[in-house]
Amino acid sequence: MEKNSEKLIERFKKEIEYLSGNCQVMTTETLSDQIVNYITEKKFKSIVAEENGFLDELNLNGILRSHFTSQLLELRRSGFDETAYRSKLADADFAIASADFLIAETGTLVFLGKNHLNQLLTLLPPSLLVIAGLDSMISDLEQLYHQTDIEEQSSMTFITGPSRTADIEKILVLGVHGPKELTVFVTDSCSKGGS
Amino acid sequence: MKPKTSEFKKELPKHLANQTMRQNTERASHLSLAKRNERVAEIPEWESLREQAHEIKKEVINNLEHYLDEFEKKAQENGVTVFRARDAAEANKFVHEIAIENKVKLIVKSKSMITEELGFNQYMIDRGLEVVETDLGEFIIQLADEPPSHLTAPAIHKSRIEIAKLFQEKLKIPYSEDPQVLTRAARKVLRKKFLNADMGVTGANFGIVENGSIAIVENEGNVRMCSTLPKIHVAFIGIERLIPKSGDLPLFIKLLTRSATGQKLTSFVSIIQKPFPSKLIDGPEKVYFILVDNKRSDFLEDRYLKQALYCIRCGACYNTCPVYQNIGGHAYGWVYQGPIGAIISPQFLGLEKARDLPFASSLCGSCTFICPVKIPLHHLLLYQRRRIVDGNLTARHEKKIAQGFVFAANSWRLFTYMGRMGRVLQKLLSKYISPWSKSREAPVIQRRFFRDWWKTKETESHGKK
Repeated sequence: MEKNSEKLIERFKKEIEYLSGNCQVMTTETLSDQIVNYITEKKFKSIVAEENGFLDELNLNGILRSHFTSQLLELRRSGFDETAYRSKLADADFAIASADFLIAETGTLVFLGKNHLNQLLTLLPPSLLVIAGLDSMISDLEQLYHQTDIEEQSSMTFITGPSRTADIEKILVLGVHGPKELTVFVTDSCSKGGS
Repeated sequence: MKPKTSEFKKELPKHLANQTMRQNTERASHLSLAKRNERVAEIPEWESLREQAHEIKKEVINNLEHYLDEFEKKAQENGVTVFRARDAAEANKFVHEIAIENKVKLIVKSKSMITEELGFNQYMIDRGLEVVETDLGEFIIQLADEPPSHLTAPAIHKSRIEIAKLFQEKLKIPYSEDPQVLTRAARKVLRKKFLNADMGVTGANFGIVENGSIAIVENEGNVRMCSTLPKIHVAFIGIERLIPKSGDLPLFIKLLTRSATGQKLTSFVSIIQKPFPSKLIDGPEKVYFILVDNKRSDFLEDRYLKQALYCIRCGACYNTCPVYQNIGGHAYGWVYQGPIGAIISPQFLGLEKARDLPFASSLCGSCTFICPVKIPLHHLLLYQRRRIVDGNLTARHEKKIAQGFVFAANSWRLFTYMGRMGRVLQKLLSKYISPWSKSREAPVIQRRFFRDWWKTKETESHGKK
């Protein structure tokens, strides 16, 4: 890891942890074991996973199918009706998705709409794991708008930590409507997120 | 929400006597300020950011028609239906028609001050629709049937004991003061609503002209729910909320989140561009942007007041205002509170109806100092005061006394005479001159005036020579 990346990832980790999230850095080789360990430890009962190019390359679906067949909720929509799809997402206790960019200054995950068609995945389940490549790390939000991947016509979502509120006497409570638990696995894979 | 701004003076003692509200408001304000200060200290170039934002807003407000046309065009190219509403009646009617067309029964809403301003909820409820507030603070006050008392923390005037009792009564859950338990109860109730809603209504923090998109910041996730789950998403946008380019967004979001809640970024930021008619993509099939004027154009006619349109609704001016900290949000009688509310309520509601608000200020200037877009707030308060006095809307005897004073002050003899008379009459008159002396003791006018002392000193030193 070059020095600049090191500083950025350290900053990113610090920010995520300040927000009560979790962040681990790993090689692509160890990713599979890490995912399996994480899910086993947490004892998740129903899992939903995003499907896109980045996660296909990491063979996420394969990993989940071989270790967690009973927990995995298949989301493919053709043949499934919307109500069933939604109730699966609403009942799931764990979701795995990828992010397109990581922002070090604020501990933020960036999701470009065109790469994440099932954005309810990062919203409904109470526990969320996001996988992203170290090379998708940028220093701050301003940098995002200099990236060539950003199209003019693109919906985006930024996620910075778990869902939270302080509406009751300014006391912090996590997991209001969105995820209560947020974990990020940063890999040093070569390809950027999405596509 | 029915404005109660004309009852400001009358209602004030009631608010000042509400110890729970005062404690909660003061505590919450100080907490928010402390966090804000921490975040601002991290940014050495903060002042220059304020300046940049001020200039961008100035440019937009000075060319608003052009930017509105451009925004509308771009949004429509993306498949969004844009409606430019002149006032509350037009805005509400349009959305109601969409609701009828699409057989909408249940609307879920995220926190939006402009919908409070338009009386949207009541309009829909009166016509048989169910409207559910999903922001936790708004959900609480909806259950309590109260108006919000702050921009970003609408239920901040309530203690957890009050909320616990409320939830026990209205949600039929066992009594608990634990915020975690209360939040979980709200989550459960609201999730059902999100999943069954026919329409989601949100506001918008910014409208990005370059690509016709809107940006909404939030911490809970309810905005994402409202703008993704129901088949229809309606976003209300004040016409003044536009920024020219998407590259401007980082600047404004940075200023907003750090000033409002002392966060680097809120948990979620959604940049919304278009509908998704395909069932394979999560998102609404139809998206509507309602661009609301509702007297905002009136501000444009006054070259000082139009600066009030730069406001990004962060609420920092509320938090720092000693008056707000003590009287709380409800005292301001309408949806916009604190220093900015005291300036714009008279514009929206009429100088006559809100004439006491600009006077509820010590002009300490803290609001001007803290405003992320450098609106000269306390100068505008003074400006509104002048307009109110010029409009003969203040107490007549005040004007007479001021005129009398000016007359007397122009002659030193008369001024001295008034001073000596004042000393005699002070004790008698203080009760009647001003409510100021009801809770304060005015310094007693000394028998020996400065000029007397000076004369003595001069004679002494002449003597010494």
